[in-house]
Amino acid sequence: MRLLKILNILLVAVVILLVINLICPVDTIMGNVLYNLDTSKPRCYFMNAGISNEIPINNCCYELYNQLACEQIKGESDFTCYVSKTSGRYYLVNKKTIDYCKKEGFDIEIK
Amino acid sequence: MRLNKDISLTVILLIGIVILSFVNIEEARPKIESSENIRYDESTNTLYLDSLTIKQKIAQMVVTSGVKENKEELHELFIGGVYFGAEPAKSDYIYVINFFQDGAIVPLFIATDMEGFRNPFENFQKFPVFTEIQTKEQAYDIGYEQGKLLKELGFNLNFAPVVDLEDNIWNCRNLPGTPEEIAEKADYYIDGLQENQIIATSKHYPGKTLSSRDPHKFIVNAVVDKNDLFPFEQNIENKVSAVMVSHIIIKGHVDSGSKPSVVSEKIISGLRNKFTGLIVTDAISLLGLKNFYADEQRMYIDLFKAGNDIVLNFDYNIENVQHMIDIVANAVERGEISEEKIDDSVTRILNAKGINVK
Repeated sequence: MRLLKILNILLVAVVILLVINLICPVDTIMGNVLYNLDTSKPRCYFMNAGISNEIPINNCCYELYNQLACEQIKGESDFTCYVSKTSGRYYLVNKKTIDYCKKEGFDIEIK
Repeated sequence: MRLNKDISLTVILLIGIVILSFVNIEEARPKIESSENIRYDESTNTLYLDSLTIKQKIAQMVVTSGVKENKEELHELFIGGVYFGAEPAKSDYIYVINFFQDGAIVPLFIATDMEGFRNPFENFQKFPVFTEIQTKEQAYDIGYEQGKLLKELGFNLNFAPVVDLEDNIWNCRNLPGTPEEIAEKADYYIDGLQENQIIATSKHYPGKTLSSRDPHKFIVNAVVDKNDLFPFEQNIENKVSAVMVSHIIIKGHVDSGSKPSVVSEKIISGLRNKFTGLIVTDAISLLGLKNFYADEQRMYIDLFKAGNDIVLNFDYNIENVQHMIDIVANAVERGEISEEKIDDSVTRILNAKGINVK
């Protein structure tokens, strides 16, 4: 009896989620919620032969989309994004940037 | 009694979940009209423009991400082309490009950004960045080598060279020298590419796109003078096949009327008056454009209304690309965008692909 009640509550929750998903996809809502929970500023640096250049976030997402992959690293930046692992040209970005670009519809490969 | 009520509720909820799941799946699947209506005569390599629906014409003007899972839908839509960023090896490119071209009614544009600074092939071939190009001969050799590689892999459209006079952001994307030297090097680079049947794209019209600015600002204003325009004019005279228009709000020698250049009819028609080739938008996902508009639908309409031939929408979600096509097709149907203008663009695109249009 009690089990059936719990099951019904869960089923109602699933129905609500399916209805919400019809109006606005749940992954978009979740993406926005997670993005807004992180209050840090997006950061994006282009490294060229050891020289760092700050790239406007306006352009950064497109550059990350053009890389082969982004890999999590330890240190000031959360990710390094590159075409070739041996290249002297690569990007250093924080998690906020990755989340932001994904939210904006860019397909970024995370290793 | 109470138990029966709970069981009935469980059954009703389960039926509801099944129905809602089907509705969700149906909503997620793009509804695309069949492409069987398209008349393309292979023997004469002729496509009959009047056989295309408005949506198919709009789709032919779009270059989008080469997402393998979307291949069938992209073919059905009659999409103009696909874009590829970095892949690990030569064989990956050859495979994926053949995969996309196989079964397409007319060949797709296969596009990339091979500038030097942005080199998606760096895993197997290195090229110098543009700031390192000192002579016109070197520019030609690099253009030719890049063209040869692009052709070998199956590409036919390259979004290069950059002819902005300076780059204060990446500090390596512009050709060095005076406006005349930049124009000359770009001409030689374009010759090298186009001798390999790769469409070259002078960018980013009308200039000042890579000038120093606040990295946290999205919408950017700049003032251009005749020096900024000189390389574009020179490249056009030298028969560059395409010009890419930027998202910068421009004043000065040309004026975008307080809106991004890419949606400015003034800027695009001014360019069209002197250029018969393809006019390409910068990636529309760049936030300098997106953040200018409160309403995305208005942005889509303005992009096509302005007179661009090719619109770069790299959204990996095909539903969003299809949504854009639907919005623009509706605007054409209600007369907000001239169908004649769309026909001209589609003709230019098909001609650039080597197809006759009737």
